[in-house]
Amino acid sequence: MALMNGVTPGQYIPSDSWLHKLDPRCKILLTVIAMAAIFIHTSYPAFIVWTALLGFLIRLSKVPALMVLRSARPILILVLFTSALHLFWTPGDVIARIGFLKITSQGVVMALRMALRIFFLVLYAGMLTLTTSPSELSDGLESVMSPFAKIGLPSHEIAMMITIALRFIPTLFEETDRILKAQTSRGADFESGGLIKRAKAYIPVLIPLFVLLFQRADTLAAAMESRCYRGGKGRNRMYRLRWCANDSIAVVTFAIIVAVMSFALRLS
Amino acid sequence: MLIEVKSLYHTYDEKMPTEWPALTDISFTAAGGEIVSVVGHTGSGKSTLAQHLNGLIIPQRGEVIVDGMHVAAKSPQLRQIRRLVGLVFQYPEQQIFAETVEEELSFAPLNWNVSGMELKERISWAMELIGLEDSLLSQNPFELSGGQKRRVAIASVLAADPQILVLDEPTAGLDAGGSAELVALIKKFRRSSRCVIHVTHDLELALCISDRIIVLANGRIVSQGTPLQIAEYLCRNKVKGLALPDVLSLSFELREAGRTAGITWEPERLAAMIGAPR
Repeated sequence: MALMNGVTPGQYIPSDSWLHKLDPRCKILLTVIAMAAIFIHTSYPAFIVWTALLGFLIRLSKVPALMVLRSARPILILVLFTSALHLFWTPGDVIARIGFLKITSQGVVMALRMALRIFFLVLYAGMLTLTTSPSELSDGLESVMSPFAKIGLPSHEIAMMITIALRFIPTLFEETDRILKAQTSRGADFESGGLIKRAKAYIPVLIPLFVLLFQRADTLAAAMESRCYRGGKGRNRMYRLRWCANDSIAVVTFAIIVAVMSFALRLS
Repeated sequence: MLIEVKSLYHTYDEKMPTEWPALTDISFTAAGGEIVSVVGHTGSGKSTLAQHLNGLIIPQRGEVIVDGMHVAAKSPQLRQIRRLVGLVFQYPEQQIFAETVEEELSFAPLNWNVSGMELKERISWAMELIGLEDSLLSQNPFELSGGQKRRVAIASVLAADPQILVLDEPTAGLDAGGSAELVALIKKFRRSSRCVIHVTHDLELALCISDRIIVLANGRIVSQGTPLQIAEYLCRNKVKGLALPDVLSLSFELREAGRTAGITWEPERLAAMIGAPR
């Protein structure tokens, strides 16, 4: 029943770890490097390196590993769906048939690689949000995107939108959980019947949820406007970001690891 | 109809940095015809307890027994327990989804396979109990006033004909008139030998309407008894987040000063007590 189970995507877990203390721009940069590398390298040795590196980062962050893994749980359906598409629709040597569907050996490999790739992308992105507070993340994103402001990119607004979206993910889960429980207590059954029956059963959850979310968005917009929020123009900040030696060490070390791994994989 | 809670424990986010023991060693019973209030500060575990009574949260340790049936994971009796125990969440109007009031009220009975004349009777009974006119049945619930929406949402739980009604902060966000109407509903519901478990942080309301009160603090029961026993306890012991009603504080001070014989939280009774020589 409970959707939350300890951690939701985008949740911040406060701690005094080395990773928490890094500049948010540094962590954003590390995440971008990691994501690009995960996209490029999808061989099994690469996944072993990603696992080891993730384990090291989790240890550095002092966030329990189970909590990091649980943050990827909500995307399980997406992973299954994507893997299923690759499993059944990749051409190659047929190894099994389920009705009109064919499973190929290439499809099995692709499905597994795709599942691992998505999991690692979410887990590495999760390390960023688990160790960076929403306000730090907003400042970091704005700072990283600020060079593009010269070509008209509304960096502050984009950063604010991302921050608000992240901030509302736990709220969305809480509200969904609450409405699910309320309808369950009125006898709604979400667990039995076929796909269409189950989908229909969710109508009493989705309608109130959308009404509530639009109301919240409206209230938030009004609350921001009433406090004279008018975007990034002329806005100063309470705390300035500081790039320290540790940030440089982290970026350089991470870049070296990725470069060495890329080189080694290419050689092999 | 009896609801029994025995040594109930619940911890959120077990073995996580955010681990939080919401309930610790909770035991109480409530019988038909009783109004039992559970009072406590925000985060004292009241709502967690309420959700255990309906089987929405399965006990991690301890037992919840409704009419002899144990609340347990994958129990075939879980749906029957949910049918017997109607749970009204805080801000229940936020669960409304139907296009008409009638459709909203028929949601729960239809889920329990009630249809035809019985369904119509249930809807009429719930509308009457909650004090709404039948003419509202064809209206869109989203177009009603806040107070009416709240009553429609409560009626939608009542339409399932529960024997035990658990209300989680039912008066939150209501004006004095709305609260009074809700109190009248609680009393009416109790008259039909059904049980009401009223979860609130409003101590004054709990003292006024309850047969028994359970005081929760940090997930533990710190006291339980009749309203008078609880009033006496709270006058002598400070409980986090529970403010004493002004009349009760004054009444306690007067009694301690030897000016009255007892304590009360009702202004009229206090006036009478002051008027009467000890």
